[in-house]
Amino acid sequence: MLINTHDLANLARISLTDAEHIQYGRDIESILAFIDTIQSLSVESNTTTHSEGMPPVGVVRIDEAYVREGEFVASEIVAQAPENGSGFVKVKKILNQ
Amino acid sequence: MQTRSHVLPESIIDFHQNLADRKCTVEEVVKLYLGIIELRNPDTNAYLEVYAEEALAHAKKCDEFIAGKTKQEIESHVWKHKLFGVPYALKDNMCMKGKIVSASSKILEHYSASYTATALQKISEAGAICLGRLNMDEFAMGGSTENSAYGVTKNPLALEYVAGGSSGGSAAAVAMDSCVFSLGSDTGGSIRQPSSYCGVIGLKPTYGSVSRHGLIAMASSFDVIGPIAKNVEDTELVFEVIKGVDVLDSTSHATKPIEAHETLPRHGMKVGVPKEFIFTDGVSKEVQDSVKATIAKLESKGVKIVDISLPLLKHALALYYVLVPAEVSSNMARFDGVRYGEQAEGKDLLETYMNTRGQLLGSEVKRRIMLGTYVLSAGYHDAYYKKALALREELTRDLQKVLGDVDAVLTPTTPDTAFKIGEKNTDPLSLYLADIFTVTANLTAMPAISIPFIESIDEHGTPAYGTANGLPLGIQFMADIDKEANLFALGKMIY
Repeated sequence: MLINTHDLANLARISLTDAEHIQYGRDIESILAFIDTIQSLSVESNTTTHSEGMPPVGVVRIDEAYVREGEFVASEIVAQAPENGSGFVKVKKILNQ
Repeated sequence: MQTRSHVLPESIIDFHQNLADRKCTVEEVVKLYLGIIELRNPDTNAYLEVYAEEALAHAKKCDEFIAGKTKQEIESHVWKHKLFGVPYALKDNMCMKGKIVSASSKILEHYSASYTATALQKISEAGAICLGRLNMDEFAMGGSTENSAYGVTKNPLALEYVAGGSSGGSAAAVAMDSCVFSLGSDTGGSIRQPSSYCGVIGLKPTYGSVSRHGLIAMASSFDVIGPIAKNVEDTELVFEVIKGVDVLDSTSHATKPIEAHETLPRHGMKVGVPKEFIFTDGVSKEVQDSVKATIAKLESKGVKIVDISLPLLKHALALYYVLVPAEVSSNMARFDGVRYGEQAEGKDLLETYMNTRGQLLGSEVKRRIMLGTYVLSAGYHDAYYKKALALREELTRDLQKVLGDVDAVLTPTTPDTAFKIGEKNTDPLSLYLADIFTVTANLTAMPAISIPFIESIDEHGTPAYGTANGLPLGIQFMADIDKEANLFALGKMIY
């Protein structure tokens, strides 16, 4: 197998079962075989990788907060966190000791 | 005493006329639709949640508002509030403050939105009544609604078939006459494909013409919200309501209002058909025949048909399945079990991330995140992602050149009619191939519409689609950026 699903799953922060590793390895290989056709296409040298042809072009929002009345209330947002308390989102410690 | 109508409105205009003529009340109509939901939803599973009480209360308010008004006053009110009293339903990936929005995923099962999507804000200001939220493929990834964590949505026209996806609930809800219109979202065909499978009209607007603020992101440079309805006029009306520039979405842009005469069938229109791409193996005979019949119909109405060639079209799907998983893998990073949604706890933070995503995301979502991670990883980024981005630019340029000469490009919406539930479960790639005609509009930002192909209509008004399984199929028109008017004009010619 060419695809190391353990590396990929780790990068993607997803724990997979053994059966899933086998399944996704197979699926991804078959999808890659399909999308590999783009390797045979040549790209004109002046083609950019940003969207020149698409609107909008160069939009920068004014740097100020914009909130509609009654929306994005801090307590409501924090209450959505699986672990929260005293107005804070609780996060597990990331440093040992 | 005038006779009251106890049939469903033919269109939004018809409904408003009935209100002005006192032939019906908003409450009566909302009750009719809620009755249909109660009757049909146990079979189809289009609605995940029905807002019956709120909808009825809203309907009563509408009736009270017009109670003392003259006919002229009502007509003038609905002119300004284009969706006054109109019952609709929305895909489960749009935020409405205080309501659950789950994206049909376990990970957001109890998530309640803290704000309202701009498109919904506009719909609500226009006076529409929300009946409920609709099933979809989890996080809009899929083409059959089989990827929903809350069960498949069945095709209301034949329950053993899929309704399509990812906006399967939205198409099914309209097809089973349970609302006047619905909202879906389209990243690679998610409005048009289920519309094609369910025999309704679905519009994928120009990228950025409708704000994405409040739409749960799948692939941000592809996603757009659009309407599904029973006729072209309603589709057009809803689009006019939801479109517009929004400070909360910097990729949105202003468009000029479409003049009514622009959307009328016009003489001398020119439509391009990429014949080499349609009349080929992999596209069913029925679908090919429907295209031929549509061409003949358009020609009989004075439309000029020209053959066009776009060599990159056949590679569009490959580009799509590089770029979309790449964007998916970044967008889905926010679902970490910390900030919102559900959590599957582990011994430390890393294990909590891994368990949450491993246990609470569905298999298609995980597959796409993994694929996206692969094409973006060091060593493969240039070969896949960068190359696909450049080819996306070339495809856009080539298509724009074609659309400089024709008013629209005609293709089928899908290579076949709806398939049976479970039929394509084992091979994800075979399901991806159903998107072959729809992804180009998303890659290039162009608007596209799916219109049901009708072979004939019998004396009872029942349409025949000319297919072996009796299921509908759609004809797709794609136009240049912000040229939705062309799509509506052509749609009215064939439907």
